[in-house]
Amino acid sequence: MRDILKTIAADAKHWTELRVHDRRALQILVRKGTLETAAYRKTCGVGVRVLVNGTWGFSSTGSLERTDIERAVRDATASAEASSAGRLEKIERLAECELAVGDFTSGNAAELATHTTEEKAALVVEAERRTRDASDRIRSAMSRYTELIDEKWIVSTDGADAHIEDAKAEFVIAATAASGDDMVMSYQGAGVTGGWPELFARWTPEELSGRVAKMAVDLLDAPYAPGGRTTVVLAPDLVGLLAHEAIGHTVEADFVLSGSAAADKIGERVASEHVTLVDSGPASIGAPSAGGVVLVDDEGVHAQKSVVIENGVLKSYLHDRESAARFGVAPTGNSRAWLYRDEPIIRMRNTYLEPANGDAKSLDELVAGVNDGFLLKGANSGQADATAEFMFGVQEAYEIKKGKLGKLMRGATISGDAFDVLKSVDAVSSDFEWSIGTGHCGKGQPAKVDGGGPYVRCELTIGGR
Amino acid sequence: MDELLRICDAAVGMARSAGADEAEAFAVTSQEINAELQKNDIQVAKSMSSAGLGIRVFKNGSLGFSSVNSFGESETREAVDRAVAIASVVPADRHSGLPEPAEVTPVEGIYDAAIESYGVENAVNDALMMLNEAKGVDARVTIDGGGVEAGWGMRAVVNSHGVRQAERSSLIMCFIMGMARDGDSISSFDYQFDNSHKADGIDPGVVARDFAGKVIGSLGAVSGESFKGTVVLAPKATTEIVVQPIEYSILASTVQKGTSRFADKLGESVASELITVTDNSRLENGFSTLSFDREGLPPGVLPLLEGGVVRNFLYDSYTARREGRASTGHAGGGASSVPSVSATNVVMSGGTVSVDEMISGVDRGVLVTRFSGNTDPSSGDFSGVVKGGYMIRSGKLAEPLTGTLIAGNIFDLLPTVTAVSRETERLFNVVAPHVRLDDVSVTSG
Repeated sequence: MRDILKTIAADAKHWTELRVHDRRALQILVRKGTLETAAYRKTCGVGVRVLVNGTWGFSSTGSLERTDIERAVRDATASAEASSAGRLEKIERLAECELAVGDFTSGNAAELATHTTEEKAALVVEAERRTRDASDRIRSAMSRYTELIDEKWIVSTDGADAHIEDAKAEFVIAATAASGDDMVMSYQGAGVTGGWPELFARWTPEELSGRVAKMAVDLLDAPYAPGGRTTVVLAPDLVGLLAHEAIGHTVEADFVLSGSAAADKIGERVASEHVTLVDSGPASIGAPSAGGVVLVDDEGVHAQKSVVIENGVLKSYLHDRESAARFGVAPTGNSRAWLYRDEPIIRMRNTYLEPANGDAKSLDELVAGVNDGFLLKGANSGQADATAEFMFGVQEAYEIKKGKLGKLMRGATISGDAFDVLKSVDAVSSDFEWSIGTGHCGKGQPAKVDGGGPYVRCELTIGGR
Repeated sequence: MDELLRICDAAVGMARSAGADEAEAFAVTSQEINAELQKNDIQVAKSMSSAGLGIRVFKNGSLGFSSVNSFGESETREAVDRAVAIASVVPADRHSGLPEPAEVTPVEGIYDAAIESYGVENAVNDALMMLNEAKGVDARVTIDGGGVEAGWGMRAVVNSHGVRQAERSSLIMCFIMGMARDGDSISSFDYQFDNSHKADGIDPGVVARDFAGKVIGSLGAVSGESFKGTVVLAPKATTEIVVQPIEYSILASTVQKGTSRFADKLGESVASELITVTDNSRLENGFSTLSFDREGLPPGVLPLLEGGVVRNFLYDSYTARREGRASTGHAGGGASSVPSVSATNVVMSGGTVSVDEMISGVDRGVLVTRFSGNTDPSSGDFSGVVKGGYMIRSGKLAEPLTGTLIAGNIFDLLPTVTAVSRETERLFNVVAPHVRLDDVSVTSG
């Protein structure tokens, strides 16, 4: 494959990037005793990007035949030529860097292959049944297992020549508990770059069923959280979601260039001194199996550990080669494409808050410092945009009164301006967990990402009713 | 289209030879040209073609599915073998199986050959026109993303019981998103779009100007008041808070799983008599207008809620078999997914009052232009941020709002809806009016 790509690249008249991506995905999903999905999907093809007269052209083909790839190069070139007159600000150059050459492997495809499809199906079927049978108040349960096995070749006319293999796995359980018309859902899972030992490192499938079922039932008896501005302690999953959704997107250089809340703020204090926020390709902290691991990005750039906020000061945006050249910095390895037919765009990888090292407090100490507030756990879907205004659903809200944890409440959402929230952080714990690895980030195309952090104490607005 | 049908025939034959008791092949081809805006400029122009083949088999009552993005014989063979292998090891389900053929009347107006010759140059020019029109309204508008996309293609489905259908469609779409920025004042993030099956069916300039007007209007937003009272949902918010929970609740899959609030309410009133919702697969220029579903069956036009009364649930062949009845033709999905029940175009009928009249009757309330939050369609709980919203005071729109949350339970609120607007808006597969709700929690932080 490499030889065909290198031959085509050698003949290219313009800067050209050829990316072969072979994705094999297995998904098994059972809901209330019904096997809804047992599917194996192969998506394979070549994405071609060219830079002509200062603008991009993109094309793709599902064929790996040389003549089809060459046609895609011509189509991409024609598209770029058609749009170059209209482009206001021409791309003068791409940032120079040492492009990846060689073989790069992450995850553990071989270990995943040791488990038969039958074993994977049985895992899902049993997990769903066990969860549903855990209580007669559980009306419906769902269990899902997913594998993404990727093989890529990236060749560019300026020297990228990388062969990349990656394997990610996910396992999720959800339960809906009900009493009459009252219904509440709970879910939890794991998403890793690795095999089953990593996937079930925190919880076995049995433990996960038990936790999810119990939480759904407990939430059914829980009152709704009241609304208002208050002090909260956020668990690592909500910290990860906040770091990704509410801060991370505002520091993606494409959003910065169109005027995000982080624009023109490099070197400024944007958070309290307790906050150091990182987006990293490799898992630079905690378990090495974080769900968003990328060793080499889809431009063939070595994926870096990028310190975005250091002790409260904004240090870096997240870049691809185009934006890095515009900002006069090195690319950070954040250019990613979901499938061969998607063009690489700036995406996050593993986004987290660093735990405290000096004045670390335990979770108990964080809670003890709250007179009237909540401990919040469990990230439901979140929404945020380039203004840093965010809104996330929270599964579990535990009342804190005079430093003591109290009753469980449900239905809370949190919202605010993420930078205001980070400025209000007055303590973080020394714990660290990757905890949003089951999620996909959406930005026109999906991406596997992860995030996490320690427990964090801050101020924000709870929406309740 | 004959070629695509032959590809499906071959895959079905291969699957039967490989040991499948029943087999279905769904194939698509598509071509797309696209000019994308980003950062107030043209970002990339694209021209792409793709294909997909999804093979569903049943063996001894067990499901197997596999998909591939190429029609080559060896790829098809591998996909067939994978599907049969999966069906050989997963548990059986006595309700599984493929449908018998039903008569399909082709729907008109979903394919326009002119879209095939629209071309990258026109896409680029129209995208630039959007940029200029939006900036022309006010220089403080900043465009995050957007563009113009034209696509066309075919889909075909064949099964071993004799279902054999194919059709062409085309779609042109324009989209713009971003905000307005005036010094440190940033407006709500917003978006606007339009789409049509016909090449001349969209007006990108109008879309861009509407977008610009909205984001400029929400500059200088202030935090409002906390109260429990009236909110008026604009069509985008109606879609998320009202229509989507109704759409979820009328799917036979959620009814059978016990997660639908309408599960035992067929023939009963669940909403104000102002509320009528229809699934219309034949809606003129509807985003999801089609002649046959993912399984090759015709969906037709079905009332879902009529004057607040639940009239029908939507079925695919699996959920229909579970109840010993016929599918309503509502299997959704693409080539790479196992078919599952889904709505086509969901049309919420307009009422008798105008939006202005609805607002003029509100002493204190909030107009929710867009809602960014969570709606749990099974419980009906919704909670989220008001985007591009305004306070309503003494029947008039007052200051734009920021940092304002609304929360409530839509199923508790549906019976008390006090007004539905005459005007409706088409948002992808949903047509929605403005809806006025009382007793919603409004929290300002």
